Amino acid sequence: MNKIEELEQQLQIVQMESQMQARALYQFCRDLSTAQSDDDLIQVLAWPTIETEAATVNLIYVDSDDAGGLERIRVIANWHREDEDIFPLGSRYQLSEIPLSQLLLADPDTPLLISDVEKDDRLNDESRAWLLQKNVYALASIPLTLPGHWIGIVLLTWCQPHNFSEQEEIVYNGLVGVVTPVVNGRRLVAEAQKRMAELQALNELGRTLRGRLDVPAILEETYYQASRLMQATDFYIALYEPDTNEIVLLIDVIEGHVTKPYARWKARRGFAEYVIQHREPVIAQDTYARWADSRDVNVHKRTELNELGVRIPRSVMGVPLIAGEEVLGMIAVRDYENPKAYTQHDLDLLTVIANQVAIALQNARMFDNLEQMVKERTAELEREIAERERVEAERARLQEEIIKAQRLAIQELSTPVIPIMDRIIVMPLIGSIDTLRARDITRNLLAGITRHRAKVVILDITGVPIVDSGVADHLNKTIQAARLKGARTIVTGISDAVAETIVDLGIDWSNVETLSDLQTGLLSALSSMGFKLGRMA
Amino acid sequence: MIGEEVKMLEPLDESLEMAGITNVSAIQKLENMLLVAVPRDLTDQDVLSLRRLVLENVRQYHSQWVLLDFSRVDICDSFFGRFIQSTAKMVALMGAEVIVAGLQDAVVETMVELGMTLPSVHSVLDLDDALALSREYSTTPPLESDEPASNDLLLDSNCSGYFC
Repeated sequence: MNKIEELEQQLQIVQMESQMQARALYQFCRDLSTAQSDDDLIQVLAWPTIETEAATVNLIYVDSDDAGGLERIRVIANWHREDEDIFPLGSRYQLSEIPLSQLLLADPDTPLLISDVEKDDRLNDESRAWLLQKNVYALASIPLTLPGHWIGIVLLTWCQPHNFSEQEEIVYNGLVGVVTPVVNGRRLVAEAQKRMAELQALNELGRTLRGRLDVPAILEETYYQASRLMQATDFYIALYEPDTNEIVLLIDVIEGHVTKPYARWKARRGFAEYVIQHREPVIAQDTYARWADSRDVNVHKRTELNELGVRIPRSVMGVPLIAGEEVLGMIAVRDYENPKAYTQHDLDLLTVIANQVAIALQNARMFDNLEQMVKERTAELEREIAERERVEAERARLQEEIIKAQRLAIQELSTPVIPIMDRIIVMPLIGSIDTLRARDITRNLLAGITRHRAKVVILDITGVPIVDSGVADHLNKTIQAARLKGARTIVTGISDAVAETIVDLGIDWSNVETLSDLQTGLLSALSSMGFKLGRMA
Repeated sequence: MIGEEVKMLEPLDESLEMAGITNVSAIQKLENMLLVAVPRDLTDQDVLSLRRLVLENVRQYHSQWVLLDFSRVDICDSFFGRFIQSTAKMVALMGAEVIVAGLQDAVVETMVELGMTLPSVHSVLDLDDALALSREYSTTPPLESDEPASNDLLLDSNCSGYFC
């Protein structure tokens, strides 16, 4: 009876304990699923382990390489007691670097528990040394996996040997199932967010590059956007000039400091030349090893360079800038620490950037060319126009001068005023007389009268071919004008034909003093002025 | 002889005074000749006043010749042209003759264009010719000598166009 009660009591206790455990588990699950950040998550994870006096709790992601094989791990979040930060936040390890990796990733379903690193026979010497060096004496590795797919590890470490109780093993086993979906979800969301950010950055790059036409602005913008997308603290863009076979370094970013060296050199056998020549994106991983092998740069040379202060990157990724058929140059990022810093995804991103940059550069170049052409053509045209204008002006001026001289000559020739005696002038008229010429005749005659104080004017029209009513009218006006100036006009040179015409046309010249020829006119004029003509005796 | 006889005339009309004509001594008497220096820039009203002044002087001095000196006039319109013509006619009615002298080339051109050829007026080049002309007329007694004077050709048939 007493034993039964005892058993019942024990049963009750067990029941209560399991109830509490269930409640705790429930609470744990709830906390886990509502964790806001990776730090929150690690705090939740650390909670059940505090009793076990673990030194650190780490949430580690396992990344696959492009082929699907497991490649590296990185510490996403960690919790540690003071001074026990064994796996710092953000650190990355290539699996090949970690001797323990084989063992860590051996079983995807059950936790790996090592209670005493020094004595555990599953560890080889190398692993043991590595762990002890990191002050890890016991560890628990809880795999986070989906079928056929590693997500990560929750790694607990102790600074002294630790005996795992049965209870603990149950908890860790339980964690496998509980934590996995949460972490996976978080990881997927993070991945999606990253892709979104990348897409956004690429979008922005495209948009900003579209509006840029000067090369420095394009390059700077490219660097800015690239640094948002990837680790690009060491970054450069080099252009290739096929005419001179030269590489021009336009922008060089060293540890985050943008420089614009504008250095140029003859294309040789460097990385940039390789990318430009082969026209394909290249990732050079673990260059130390390769360079050590290569004949160009041997280990000795490398050390030498290092001593000289020349840093040699451990990973380089380069993408050619291809626009159409032409290779404009290349864009590259370097990493001096990590031998495998870049993945295929990074290369893809850089390729997308490179394509956009290439197009923008080509546009800029075309715009420059176009602008140059337009400028040259404009200047040429302006020169031509100026020249033509000058010639035209010269010609016009010459023509004007000629016309002026001719007009003057004709005017003087056509209406000459000839003084023959004191106060007698003769004006022989030659050629047809129109209104314009008649006016000239009148003006010249009036001027002549004033100049010579003429009292008698002889208008000789022998040279006027046709005398019609118009000509008669014009001459009438000239005669009247002369009279108003006090001069008497004698019209001479009326041939028989002209006399006939005048009468036939009914022109009334009865009040005009007319004579047949200049000779008689002259005699009349002389005698009217009191001159007497006679032969010398 | 000429200078002795020159006599300043008193202004006859207030309007002339206002027009400033008196200030330039527009009208002077010279023997049997009335010398009228036509000022430039005359208004139409001035022109009429000047004509009346001329006529009054002709009456007063029984002038035989009226010499209109236009050498100062460089612009001519139809009104001005009519002034010359009408003055000539009026003076002729009063038994005197008009000599126009010193018409400038531009004025002559305009007058010819306007058809004002002053057929009944003597027109000469300048004052010298005008005086010579008047003297010829007054010193040539008709049918006095057998031998014509040196300037007689001016009066014979060949000269018919001279004054027309």
